[in-house]
Amino acid sequence: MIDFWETVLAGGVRLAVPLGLAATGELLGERTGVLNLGVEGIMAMGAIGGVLGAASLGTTGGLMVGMLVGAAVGLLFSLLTVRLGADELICGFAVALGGSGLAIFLSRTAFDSAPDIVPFAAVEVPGLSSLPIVGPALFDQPWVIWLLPLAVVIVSLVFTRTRLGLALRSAGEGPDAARARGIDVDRHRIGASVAAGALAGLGGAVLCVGLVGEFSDTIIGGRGFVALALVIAARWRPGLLLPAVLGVGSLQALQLRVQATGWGGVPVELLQALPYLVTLLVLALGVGAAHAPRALGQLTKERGA
Amino acid sequence: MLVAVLGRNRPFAVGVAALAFAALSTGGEALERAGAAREIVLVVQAVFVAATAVAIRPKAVAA
Repeated sequence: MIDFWETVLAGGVRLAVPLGLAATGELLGERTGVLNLGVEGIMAMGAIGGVLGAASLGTTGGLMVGMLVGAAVGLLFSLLTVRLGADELICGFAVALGGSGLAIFLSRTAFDSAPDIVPFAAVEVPGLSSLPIVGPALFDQPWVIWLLPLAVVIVSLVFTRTRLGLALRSAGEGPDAARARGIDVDRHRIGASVAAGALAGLGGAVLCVGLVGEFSDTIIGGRGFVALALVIAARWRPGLLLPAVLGVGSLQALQLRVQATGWGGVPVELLQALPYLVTLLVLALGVGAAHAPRALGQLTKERGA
Repeated sequence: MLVAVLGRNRPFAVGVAALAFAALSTGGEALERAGAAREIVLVVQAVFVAATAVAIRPKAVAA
Protein backbone atom coordinates (compact mmCIF):
# COMPACT_ATOMS: atom_id res chain seq x y z
CA MET A 1 0.00 0.00 0.00
CA ILE A 2 2.84 2.39 0.87
CA ASP A 3 4.44 1.39 -2.42
CA PHE A 4 1.30 2.41 -4.29
CA TRP A 5 1.19 5.87 -2.77
CA GLU A 6 4.92 6.35 -3.20
CA THR A 7 4.55 5.68 -6.91
CA VAL A 8 1.58 8.01 -7.16
CA LEU A 9 3.36 10.82 -5.35
CA ALA A 10 6.53 10.40 -7.41
CA GLY A 11 4.47 10.49 -10.62
CA GLY A 12 2.57 13.46 -9.25
CA VAL A 13 5.76 15.43 -8.75
CA ARG A 14 6.83 14.73 -12.34
CA LEU A 15 3.44 15.78 -13.70
CA ALA A 16 3.39 18.87 -11.51
CA VAL A 17 6.66 20.29 -12.80
CA PRO A 18 5.66 21.27 -16.40
CA LEU A 19 2.29 22.48 -15.15
CA GLY A 20 3.90 24.42 -12.32
CA LEU A 21 6.50 26.11 -14.50
CA ALA A 22 3.78 27.35 -16.85
CA ALA A 23 1.62 28.47 -13.92
CA THR A 24 4.54 30.32 -12.32
CA GLY A 25 5.09 32.20 -15.56
CA GLU A 26 1.42 33.04 -15.89
CA LEU A 27 1.37 34.24 -12.28
CA LEU A 28 4.32 36.51 -12.98
CA GLY A 29 2.56 37.99 -16.01
CA GLU A 30 -0.81 38.38 -14.31
CA ARG A 31 0.72 40.16 -11.33
CA THR A 32 1.85 42.86 -13.77
CA GLY A 33 -1.70 43.09 -15.12
CA VAL A 34 -1.34 41.05 -18.29
CA LEU A 35 -3.77 38.16 -18.72
CA ASN A 36 -2.38 35.70 -21.25
CA LEU A 37 -4.86 32.96 -22.11
CA GLY A 38 -2.41 31.51 -24.62
CA VAL A 39 -0.36 29.42 -22.16
CA GLU A 40 -1.54 26.24 -23.87
CA GLY A 41 -0.12 27.38 -27.21
CA ILE A 42 3.12 28.60 -25.68
CA MET A 43 3.65 25.28 -23.93
CA ALA A 44 3.05 23.46 -27.20
CA MET A 45 5.51 25.71 -29.03
CA GLY A 46 8.08 25.26 -26.27
CA ALA A 47 7.56 21.51 -26.46
CA ILE A 48 8.06 21.24 -30.21
CA GLY A 49 10.94 23.74 -30.08
CA GLY A 50 12.48 21.64 -27.36
CA VAL A 51 12.08 18.43 -29.33
CA LEU A 52 13.57 19.95 -32.49
CA GLY A 53 16.38 21.52 -30.46
CA ALA A 54 17.08 18.32 -28.58
CA ALA A 55 17.45 16.44 -31.87
CA SER A 56 20.57 18.44 -32.66
CA LEU A 57 21.71 19.95 -29.36
CA GLY A 58 21.01 17.22 -26.88
CA THR A 59 18.50 17.12 -24.07
CA THR A 60 19.66 20.16 -22.12
CA GLY A 61 20.03 22.16 -25.34
CA GLY A 62 16.44 21.22 -26.14
CA LEU A 63 15.25 22.75 -22.89
CA MET A 64 17.06 25.99 -23.74
CA VAL A 65 15.53 26.08 -27.23
CA GLY A 66 12.07 25.44 -25.80
CA MET A 67 12.56 28.28 -23.37
CA LEU A 68 13.70 30.67 -26.11
CA VAL A 69 10.76 29.75 -28.34
CA GLY A 70 8.40 30.33 -25.43
CA ALA A 71 10.00 33.71 -24.74
CA ALA A 72 9.58 34.67 -28.39
CA VAL A 73 5.87 33.81 -28.32
CA GLY A 74 5.51 35.73 -25.05
CA LEU A 75 7.17 38.73 -26.70
CA LEU A 76 4.84 38.50 -29.70
CA PHE A 77 1.81 38.37 -27.42
CA SER A 78 2.93 41.35 -25.35
CA LEU A 79 3.73 43.43 -28.42
CA LEU A 80 0.24 42.78 -29.78
CA THR A 81 -1.49 43.57 -26.52
CA VAL A 82 0.69 46.02 -24.58
CA ARG A 83 2.21 47.94 -27.48
CA LEU A 84 -0.48 47.72 -30.15
CA GLY A 85 -3.37 47.64 -27.69
CA ALA A 86 -5.15 44.63 -29.17
CA ASP A 87 -7.65 42.83 -26.93
CA GLU A 88 -5.74 40.51 -24.61
CA LEU A 89 -8.46 37.86 -24.39
CA ILE A 90 -8.76 37.54 -28.17
CA CYS A 91 -5.00 37.52 -28.66
CA GLY A 92 -4.69 34.94 -25.92
CA PHE A 93 -7.11 32.66 -27.73
CA ALA A 94 -5.26 33.26 -30.97
CA VAL A 95 -1.99 32.23 -29.34
CA ALA A 96 -3.56 29.13 -27.79
CA LEU A 97 -5.08 28.10 -31.12
CA GLY A 98 -2.21 29.08 -33.40
CA GLY A 99 0.53 27.84 -31.06
CA SER A 100 -1.02 24.39 -30.68
CA GLY A 101 -1.72 24.22 -34.41
CA LEU A 102 1.75 25.31 -35.43
CA ALA A 103 3.38 22.89 -32.99
CA ILE A 104 1.42 19.94 -34.42
CA PHE A 105 2.06 21.14 -37.97
CA LEU A 106 5.80 21.34 -37.31
CA SER A 107 5.84 17.91 -35.72
CA ARG A 108 4.19 16.47 -38.84
CA THR A 109 6.44 18.19 -41.34
CA ALA A 110 9.80 18.50 -39.61
CA PHE A 111 10.63 14.84 -39.20
CA ASP A 112 9.53 11.60 -40.79
CA SER A 113 10.32 9.51 -37.78
CA ALA A 114 10.43 10.88 -34.27
CA PRO A 115 13.93 11.98 -33.29
CA ASP A 116 15.76 9.94 -30.74
CA ILE A 117 15.62 11.91 -27.52
CA VAL A 118 16.98 10.58 -24.30
CA PRO A 119 14.95 12.03 -21.41
CA PHE A 120 16.81 12.76 -18.20
CA ALA A 121 17.37 9.73 -16.03
CA ALA A 122 16.43 9.72 -12.38
CA VAL A 123 19.21 10.73 -10.04
CA GLU A 124 19.16 8.92 -6.75
CA VAL A 125 20.36 11.00 -3.84
CA PRO A 126 22.14 8.58 -1.52
CA GLY A 127 20.49 8.30 1.87
CA LEU A 128 17.66 10.73 1.27
CA SER A 129 16.06 8.56 -1.40
CA SER A 130 15.34 5.83 1.11
CA LEU A 131 13.16 8.10 3.23
CA PRO A 132 9.59 6.83 3.34
CA ILE A 133 7.08 8.52 0.99
CA VAL A 134 9.08 11.67 0.18
CA GLY A 135 12.27 9.77 -0.65
CA PRO A 136 11.21 8.38 -4.03
CA ALA A 137 9.05 11.43 -4.74
CA LEU A 138 11.83 14.00 -4.36
CA PHE A 139 15.21 12.28 -4.25
CA ASP A 140 14.93 9.63 -6.94
CA GLN A 141 13.89 11.89 -9.81
CA PRO A 142 15.38 13.55 -12.88
CA TRP A 143 17.09 16.79 -11.88
CA VAL A 144 14.62 18.88 -13.91
CA ILE A 145 11.98 18.61 -11.19
CA TRP A 146 14.06 21.07 -9.14
CA LEU A 147 13.49 23.74 -11.79
CA LEU A 148 9.98 24.26 -10.42
CA PRO A 149 10.87 25.16 -6.81
CA LEU A 150 13.75 27.22 -8.19
CA ALA A 151 11.43 29.22 -10.45
CA VAL A 152 8.88 29.71 -7.66
CA VAL A 153 11.53 30.90 -5.21
CA ILE A 154 13.08 33.30 -7.71
CA VAL A 155 9.72 34.81 -8.71
CA SER A 156 8.71 35.08 -5.09
CA LEU A 157 11.98 36.74 -4.03
CA VAL A 158 11.90 39.15 -6.95
CA PHE A 159 8.36 40.18 -6.01
CA THR A 160 8.97 40.65 -2.31
CA ARG A 161 12.59 41.67 -2.00
CA THR A 162 13.53 43.78 -4.98
CA ARG A 163 12.80 47.19 -6.40
CA LEU A 164 12.06 45.52 -9.73
CA GLY A 165 9.44 43.35 -8.02
CA LEU A 166 7.80 46.40 -6.54
CA ALA A 167 7.66 48.04 -9.96
CA LEU A 168 6.23 44.86 -11.51
CA ARG A 169 3.55 44.56 -8.85
CA SER A 170 2.66 48.22 -9.10
CA ALA A 171 2.09 47.72 -12.84
CA GLY A 172 -0.51 45.12 -11.89
CA GLU A 173 -2.14 46.89 -8.96
CA GLY A 174 -2.09 50.55 -9.89
CA PRO A 175 -0.66 51.25 -13.30
CA ASP A 176 -1.70 54.91 -13.23
CA ALA A 177 0.05 55.51 -9.94
CA ALA A 178 3.05 53.60 -11.23
CA ARG A 179 3.18 55.81 -14.32
CA ALA A 180 2.94 58.89 -12.13
CA ARG A 181 5.96 57.63 -10.21
CA GLY A 182 7.88 57.46 -13.48
CA ILE A 183 7.78 53.67 -13.87
CA ASP A 184 7.66 52.51 -17.48
CA VAL A 185 4.66 50.23 -17.00
CA ASP A 186 4.63 48.98 -20.60
CA ARG A 187 8.25 47.95 -20.50
CA HIS A 188 7.79 46.05 -17.23
CA ARG A 189 4.75 44.27 -18.62
CA ILE A 190 6.53 43.28 -21.80
CA GLY A 191 9.49 42.03 -19.81
CA ALA A 192 7.22 40.01 -17.54
CA SER A 193 5.39 38.54 -20.54
CA VAL A 194 8.67 37.45 -22.10
CA ALA A 195 9.73 35.80 -18.84
CA ALA A 196 6.28 34.21 -18.53
CA GLY A 197 6.56 32.86 -22.07
CA ALA A 198 10.01 31.49 -21.32
CA LEU A 199 8.66 29.64 -18.28
CA ALA A 200 5.68 28.23 -20.18
CA GLY A 201 7.97 27.18 -23.03
CA LEU A 202 10.32 25.60 -20.54
CA GLY A 203 7.36 23.77 -19.02
CA GLY A 204 6.42 22.32 -22.40
CA ALA A 205 10.02 21.40 -23.14
CA VAL A 206 10.54 19.79 -19.73
CA LEU A 207 7.45 17.67 -20.34
CA CYS A 208 8.33 16.50 -23.86
CA VAL A 209 12.13 16.52 -23.78
CA GLY A 210 13.11 16.13 -20.15
CA LEU A 211 10.51 13.63 -18.97
CA VAL A 212 8.76 11.89 -21.86
CA GLY A 213 11.22 12.04 -24.74
CA GLU A 214 8.78 12.71 -27.56
CA PHE A 215 6.15 15.09 -28.87
CA SER A 216 2.62 13.93 -29.57
CA ASP A 217 -0.42 15.89 -30.70
CA THR A 218 -2.23 15.59 -27.42
CA ILE A 219 0.69 15.79 -25.03
CA ILE A 220 -0.05 19.30 -23.78
CA GLY A 221 -3.69 18.24 -23.51
CA GLY A 222 -5.14 21.27 -21.76
CA ARG A 223 -2.30 21.73 -19.26
CA GLY A 224 -2.05 25.36 -20.26
CA PHE A 225 -5.64 25.96 -19.25
CA VAL A 226 -5.23 24.06 -16.00
CA ALA A 227 -2.24 26.30 -15.28
CA LEU A 228 -4.49 29.33 -15.73
CA ALA A 229 -6.98 27.94 -13.24
CA LEU A 230 -4.25 27.09 -10.76
CA VAL A 231 -2.99 30.68 -10.73
CA ILE A 232 -6.46 31.72 -9.57
CA ALA A 233 -6.71 28.85 -7.09
CA ALA A 234 -3.34 29.92 -5.65
CA ARG A 235 -4.71 33.44 -5.26
CA TRP A 236 -1.87 34.85 -7.35
CA ARG A 237 0.62 33.90 -4.63
CA PRO A 238 3.74 31.93 -5.62
CA GLY A 239 3.81 30.20 -2.23
CA LEU A 240 0.36 28.70 -2.71
CA LEU A 241 1.14 27.63 -6.25
CA LEU A 242 3.40 24.76 -5.20
CA PRO A 243 0.80 22.87 -3.14
CA ALA A 244 -1.81 23.58 -5.84
CA VAL A 245 0.22 22.07 -8.68
CA LEU A 246 1.40 19.19 -6.51
CA GLY A 247 -2.22 18.43 -5.65
CA VAL A 248 -3.39 18.41 -9.24
CA GLY A 249 -0.28 16.54 -10.39
CA SER A 250 -0.84 13.85 -7.77
CA LEU A 251 -4.49 13.46 -8.75
CA GLN A 252 -3.43 12.98 -12.36
CA ALA A 253 -0.82 10.45 -11.32
CA LEU A 254 -3.37 8.63 -9.16
CA GLN A 255 -5.70 8.49 -12.13
CA LEU A 256 -3.00 7.02 -14.38
CA ARG A 257 -1.94 4.54 -11.73
CA VAL A 258 -5.47 3.33 -11.05
CA GLN A 259 -6.09 3.02 -14.75
CA ALA A 260 -3.04 0.79 -15.02
CA THR A 261 -3.69 -1.39 -12.00
CA GLY A 262 -7.47 -1.31 -11.67
CA TRP A 263 -9.06 -0.32 -8.42
CA GLY A 264 -12.38 -1.76 -7.39
CA GLY A 265 -15.33 -0.58 -9.40
CA VAL A 266 -14.33 3.08 -9.71
CA PRO A 267 -15.03 4.16 -13.29
CA VAL A 268 -11.94 5.41 -15.08
CA GLU A 269 -13.75 8.40 -16.55
CA LEU A 270 -14.58 9.68 -13.09
CA LEU A 271 -10.94 9.47 -12.08
CA GLN A 272 -9.86 11.21 -15.27
CA ALA A 273 -12.19 14.07 -14.49
CA LEU A 274 -11.04 14.24 -10.87
CA PRO A 275 -8.18 16.77 -11.26
CA TYR A 276 -10.49 19.11 -13.13
CA LEU A 277 -13.37 18.62 -10.71
CA VAL A 278 -11.12 19.42 -7.77
CA THR A 279 -9.77 22.49 -9.56
CA LEU A 280 -13.33 23.65 -10.22
CA LEU A 281 -14.30 23.02 -6.62
CA VAL A 282 -11.34 24.98 -5.29
CA LEU A 283 -12.15 27.81 -7.65
CA ALA A 284 -15.80 27.80 -6.64
CA LEU A 285 -15.17 27.65 -2.91
CA GLY A 286 -11.84 29.33 -2.57
CA VAL A 287 -11.65 32.72 -4.08
CA GLY A 288 -13.44 35.61 -5.58
CA ALA A 289 -11.83 38.21 -7.75
CA ALA A 290 -10.85 39.90 -4.47
CA HIS A 291 -7.34 38.48 -4.61
CA ALA A 292 -6.70 39.32 -8.23
CA PRO A 293 -4.24 42.05 -9.16
CA ARG A 294 -6.39 45.14 -9.51
CA ALA A 295 -5.38 46.00 -13.07
CA LEU A 296 -5.76 42.44 -14.37
CA GLY A 297 -7.75 42.27 -17.58
CA GLN A 298 -8.00 46.05 -17.81
CA LEU A 299 -5.40 46.41 -20.53
CA THR A 300 -7.88 47.30 -23.27
CA LYS A 301 -9.82 49.63 -21.02
CA GLU A 302 -6.64 51.40 -19.96
CA ARG A 303 -5.78 51.95 -23.58
CA GLY A 304 -9.18 53.32 -24.42
CA ALA A 305 -9.12 55.81 -21.56
CA MET B 1 -16.53 33.18 -30.51
CA LEU B 2 -13.52 33.78 -32.72
CA VAL B 3 -15.81 34.00 -35.72
CA ALA B 4 -17.83 36.68 -33.93
CA VAL B 5 -14.65 38.64 -33.30
CA LEU B 6 -13.64 38.33 -36.92
CA GLY B 7 -17.04 39.57 -38.04
CA ARG B 8 -16.78 42.45 -35.57
CA ASN B 9 -20.23 41.60 -34.19
CA ARG B 10 -21.96 42.70 -37.37
CA PRO B 11 -24.43 40.04 -38.52
CA PHE B 12 -23.52 40.12 -42.20
CA ALA B 13 -19.79 40.20 -41.56
CA VAL B 14 -20.10 37.34 -39.10
CA GLY B 15 -21.67 35.30 -41.89
CA VAL B 16 -18.75 36.06 -44.18
CA ALA B 17 -16.27 35.22 -41.41
CA ALA B 18 -18.01 31.94 -40.66
CA LEU B 19 -17.89 31.06 -44.35
CA ALA B 20 -14.17 31.87 -44.47
CA PHE B 21 -13.45 29.73 -41.41
CA ALA B 22 -15.49 26.86 -42.79
CA ALA B 23 -13.71 27.14 -46.13
CA LEU B 24 -10.37 27.01 -44.36
CA SER B 25 -11.36 23.94 -42.34
CA THR B 26 -12.62 22.14 -45.40
CA GLY B 27 -9.50 23.15 -47.29
CA GLY B 28 -7.52 21.64 -44.45
CA GLU B 29 -9.05 18.26 -45.14
CA ALA B 30 -8.03 18.57 -48.78
CA LEU B 31 -4.52 19.46 -47.61
CA GLU B 32 -4.50 16.34 -45.49
CA ARG B 33 -5.40 14.24 -48.52
CA ALA B 34 -2.63 15.96 -50.45
CA GLY B 35 -0.22 14.82 -47.79
CA ALA B 36 0.27 18.04 -45.82
CA ALA B 37 -0.73 18.56 -42.21
CA ARG B 38 -4.12 20.18 -41.74
CA GLU B 39 -3.06 21.96 -38.55
CA ILE B 40 -1.57 24.80 -40.60
CA VAL B 41 -5.18 25.92 -41.02
CA LEU B 42 -5.35 26.64 -37.28
CA VAL B 43 -2.34 28.88 -37.66
CA VAL B 44 -3.94 30.81 -40.52
CA GLN B 45 -7.12 31.22 -38.48
CA ALA B 46 -5.13 32.43 -35.48
CA VAL B 47 -3.33 35.00 -37.63
CA PHE B 48 -6.70 36.22 -38.95
CA VAL B 49 -8.03 36.62 -35.44
CA ALA B 50 -4.91 38.36 -34.13
CA ALA B 51 -4.89 40.72 -37.08
CA THR B 52 -8.54 41.56 -36.45
CA ALA B 53 -7.82 42.11 -32.77
CA VAL B 54 -5.23 44.68 -33.72
CA ALA B 55 -7.49 46.25 -36.31
CA ILE B 56 -10.41 46.75 -33.92
CA ARG B 57 -8.39 48.04 -30.98
CA PRO B 58 -9.68 51.17 -29.25
CA LYS B 59 -8.71 54.24 -31.15
CA ALA B 60 -7.11 56.31 -28.43
CA VAL B 61 -3.84 54.43 -28.13
CA ALA B 62 -1.22 56.37 -26.25
CA ALA B 63 1.75 57.15 -28.42
